[in-house]
Amino acid sequence: MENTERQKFDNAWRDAFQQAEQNPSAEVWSALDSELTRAEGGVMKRRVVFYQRLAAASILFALVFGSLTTYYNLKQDTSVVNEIANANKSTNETDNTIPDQTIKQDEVAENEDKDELAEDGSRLPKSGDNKTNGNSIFNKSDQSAFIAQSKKDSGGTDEIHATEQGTRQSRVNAKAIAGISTQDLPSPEVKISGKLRDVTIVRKLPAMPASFMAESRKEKKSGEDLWASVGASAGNYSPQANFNSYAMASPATGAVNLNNSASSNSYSQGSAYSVGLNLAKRVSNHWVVQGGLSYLNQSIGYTSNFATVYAGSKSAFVADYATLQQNASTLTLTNPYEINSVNQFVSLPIQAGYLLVDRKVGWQLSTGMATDIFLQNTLTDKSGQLDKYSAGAGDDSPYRTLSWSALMSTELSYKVGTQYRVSLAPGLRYTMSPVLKSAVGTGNPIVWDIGFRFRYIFK
Amino acid sequence: MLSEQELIKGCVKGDRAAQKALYERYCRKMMVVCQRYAKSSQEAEDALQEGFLKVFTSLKSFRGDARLDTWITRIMINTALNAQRQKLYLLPMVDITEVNLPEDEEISLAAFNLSELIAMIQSLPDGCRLVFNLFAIEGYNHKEIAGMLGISEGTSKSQYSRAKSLLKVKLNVHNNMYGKYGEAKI
Repeated sequence: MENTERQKFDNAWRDAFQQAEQNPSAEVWSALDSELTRAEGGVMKRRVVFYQRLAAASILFALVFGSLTTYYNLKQDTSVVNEIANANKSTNETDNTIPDQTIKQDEVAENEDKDELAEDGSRLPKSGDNKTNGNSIFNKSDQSAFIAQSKKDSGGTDEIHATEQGTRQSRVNAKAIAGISTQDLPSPEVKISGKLRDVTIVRKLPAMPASFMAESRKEKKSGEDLWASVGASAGNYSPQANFNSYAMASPATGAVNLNNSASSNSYSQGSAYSVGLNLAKRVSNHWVVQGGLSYLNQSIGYTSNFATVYAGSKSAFVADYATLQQNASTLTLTNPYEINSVNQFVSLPIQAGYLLVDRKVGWQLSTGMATDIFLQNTLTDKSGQLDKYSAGAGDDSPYRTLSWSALMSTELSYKVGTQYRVSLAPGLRYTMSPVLKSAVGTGNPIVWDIGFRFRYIFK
Repeated sequence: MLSEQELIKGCVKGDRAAQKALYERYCRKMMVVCQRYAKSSQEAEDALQEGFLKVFTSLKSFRGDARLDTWITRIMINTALNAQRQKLYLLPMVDITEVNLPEDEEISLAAFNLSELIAMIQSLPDGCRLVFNLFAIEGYNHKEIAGMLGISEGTSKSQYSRAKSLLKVKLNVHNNMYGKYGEAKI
């Protein structure tokens, strides 16, 4: 019945409208144009807000990372300076025995001999009358050493030529303040001889690869929206902590006289590897959000010369300062032996990625955070003489159960087939909080690694 | 002249020139579609504007399984139906249990211009107009229409019959006024 109806009445109407066209008013496009502009404005606004937040997060991360790095560098430098200061302490004490009166009396001799010293190429600082001009940048000990040297060289004289002295002083002061010796300065008598020639500088543009030529720069988007990847990475692990100091030195423990001499390997380098799964979703043309699950293994080796005596056997001792204090009475000195310390974590990373290149070859920059769940620390004596020692997570554990890491990485990928990619991903992992709960001798570990990933693209 | 693929790419990127080109290519045909479902030209233009906005925002999901004009037509029909659904809710369609269907005869609408045909359809009651468009012109069956409009299949059939009889009356009126309408004999 329906078919019959359609064959006559309906078909007549359908045919009448088959190719029918009618112009809408021009206002429709105008209104549509405004709507599209408004919609784009909303998208742009959201994008701007997103970029602002991303930029703020990046700046914050850079500031925190820079501050921490600077702090630890300064801390390291300060310790070096202190060591130098201590080493020079005895020498300075000897120099400082020269009384101030002597300095005043010998100033004449100092001024008299300045030119001679300059001619000798001496880089010793020279200052004029410090009490009158007040511009001295040298301390008294420097003056004493210098004066003693001057006196020795000249044999001493009491004649003063006031005018000449003033001229010399100003010249010498200028040189000293600039921190440049006379040998470093060109002689004013040197004149440039010869004729200047015109030199034409030819600038050549670097050769441009054919792949960058305009015709070939057509959009070749990968069309990949969702993918999963498995991967493994390995690299350098730097715990940023003085392992030897708290493995070998315990200032508060009087029971055991621990050796405090070995500090050359205090900032040891270890190794780290990880295996994991990742899932990534493209949220816009260039932005990707990715998360996953991975297992981390970070190991470090160091030397110890004591062990814990436990129930008649000896075992390698956990490298924690607080525990070291509590168990000081169980410690015993041993011959130095190599310890391998391994930390194991499960990590849950979440990252935002930006696709710089999204073609057959892909290039992505990523940054984000990871929640690291501590599993276990194992201390092993490499020689095998001492027992293995393991510590897990928990309230009574010296290790933090949860810690957070900042992640930065880049990923260079190559598409293999229609649904697969392989990639290399060098990256940095900076742990925001120390692994140990104890604040003494602990640091924020840094891992530089390179990973290999195999990606499956969902279609 | 840009190809269809180039137009789509341009629109997805948000290129306004491409969007305007796409609009100009299909707006006249889609205007007729919207006019058939709307009660007036103003309503039709509103639906056309809203429909094209949906086209541009969802064009990235167009996978090329169907022709582009077919895909756009579906969006326009859905947009127009959405606009009319509110009216259907306020004035629900009722079954017309007894409809005297005249014997189906062969007709020709060649003597009518487009505006006259559109005016005839727009003069139909809301329910009749929607069902007639969907059944007679778009080619959906009554079961599909019932699902789309949330009515029973019987209601769809009765609304169609009523639309058909009303249109035949209008064609007759026109015939009486102007003496003939093409070769149609009702």
